[in-house]
Amino acid sequence: MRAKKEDVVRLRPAAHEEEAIIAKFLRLVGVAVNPFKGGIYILDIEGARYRDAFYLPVKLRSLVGRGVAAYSGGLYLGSIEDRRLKPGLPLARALKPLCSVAAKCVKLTPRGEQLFLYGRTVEGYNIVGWKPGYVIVLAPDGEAIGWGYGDMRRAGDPSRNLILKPLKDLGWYLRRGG
Amino acid sequence: MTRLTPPRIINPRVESLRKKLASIDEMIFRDRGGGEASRLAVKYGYRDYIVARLIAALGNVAEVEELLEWNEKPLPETIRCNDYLIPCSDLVERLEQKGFTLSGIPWIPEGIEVVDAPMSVGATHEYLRGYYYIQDPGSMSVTPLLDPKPGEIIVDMAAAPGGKASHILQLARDRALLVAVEANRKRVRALRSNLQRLGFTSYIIHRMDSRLLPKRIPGLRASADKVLLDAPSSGEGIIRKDPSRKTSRGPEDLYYIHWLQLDMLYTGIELLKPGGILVYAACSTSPEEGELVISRILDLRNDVEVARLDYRIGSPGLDSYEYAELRGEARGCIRLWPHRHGTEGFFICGLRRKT
Repeated sequence: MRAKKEDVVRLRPAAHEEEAIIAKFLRLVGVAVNPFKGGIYILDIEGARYRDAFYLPVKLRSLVGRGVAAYSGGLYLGSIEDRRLKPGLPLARALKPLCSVAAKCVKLTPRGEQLFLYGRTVEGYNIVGWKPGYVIVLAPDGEAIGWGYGDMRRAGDPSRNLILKPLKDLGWYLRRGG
Repeated sequence: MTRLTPPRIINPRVESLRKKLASIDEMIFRDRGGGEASRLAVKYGYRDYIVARLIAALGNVAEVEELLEWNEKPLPETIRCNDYLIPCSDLVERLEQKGFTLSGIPWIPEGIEVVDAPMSVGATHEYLRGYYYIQDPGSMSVTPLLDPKPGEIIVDMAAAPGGKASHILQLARDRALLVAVEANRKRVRALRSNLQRLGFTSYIIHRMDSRLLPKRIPGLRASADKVLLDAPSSGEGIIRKDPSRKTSRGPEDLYYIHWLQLDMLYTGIELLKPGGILVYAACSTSPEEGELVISRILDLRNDVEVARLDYRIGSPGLDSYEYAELRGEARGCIRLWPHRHGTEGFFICGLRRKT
């Protein structure tokens, strides 16, 4: 009988290829040195197309146990699917302190925050300091509220050309339960 | 007579005790009623046996009626401020600006009662940011008694949906090593989501029956500084929240739950290192889920004793009960009663593994 999804789950140290996928994503958001190197663990989920990635600090690693059904632990980095990292919300929160030095972050206006948390695209006039590509999205008070993708529209009102597409926002906790 | 069916018991010594006490349990867990118990049961819509046992526990019909009256009042809506992410005064200010009327819970520094709300407390930006957790007042009274400290290995044996697990990490400033265990597939997702939303990272979640922990993770045996067992219960303590509990369970369920609780508690003590503290909690007013569990674990194990915890609220545990023999040490545990403390009904007890 085929195991039910999530029945067979194991946390294991990440393979070199998986570490590389995460490092590549971090470079895309401006973090050149992978701060999680050596501590990344992968949760394989039988029957699923994705794998979850976590960072486990040294002391936690001893609690994982061999052959034990660990479900989650440490800092959730995101899920790996089709050789790409889909970043998790805790990763945005963890990288936020790097916004002032290296990480690509954009701040929203109060209206922009509201739209973003509803999973809606935010237009330029609601974005403070737009940046292209993957970005950490910040609320007006500087708190990380998710991940977005800075893009440009090719036609229409130029003042609305710059947009932020939502990738994952805190509303996820209500909509999908993490 | 109702047939009593036990759960699958994992610890042989617990199973052996269960067999030894089978005939006594036939008496303890039998369906009861008649007289004042039946009158009050009809008046308030309960099964007779629940009221009969409350009368036996409190020894006072008038007080039982007061309790039943209190069970008719819905629980106040309460939240626990996550001061790991935000100072509670800032959270209060933010919510009040949105039109919430709030009031502090005197015995829990992080506890806040929502007196009036212009929107659902589960749909604010502050909730999404993990600035608070929606938790009943009795429930948020349990974890401070465990007194979690940075660096400690702490096991939460029935962790979903994460209220007490997140409270452990909050009090330890995300620097304890938490092993959170939950067997139920759906509930474990909520646990993970809540711990992430509240900003914690110092945990491992295992989806399994926590009674298997010593076998599946041998390194955990006798190594935990603290264990929290918020045991599965009949839910008699949360009738204010879920009135269906007045009739949804019978004495045979209570028997099943009692032995499951005892088996889990036995395992919990196996996990504790000498000197370690276990806090046992059950959201029930039933002595069979409280003092009787504690009395029997003290009979089973001579390496454990009741630990006096720093209670800020509550009444002492019962040391006598008409239907079962209790150990006097159970008086060192505490009970939260809806009519005395305004909370859910809760039984809480600290146990120390002797050095």
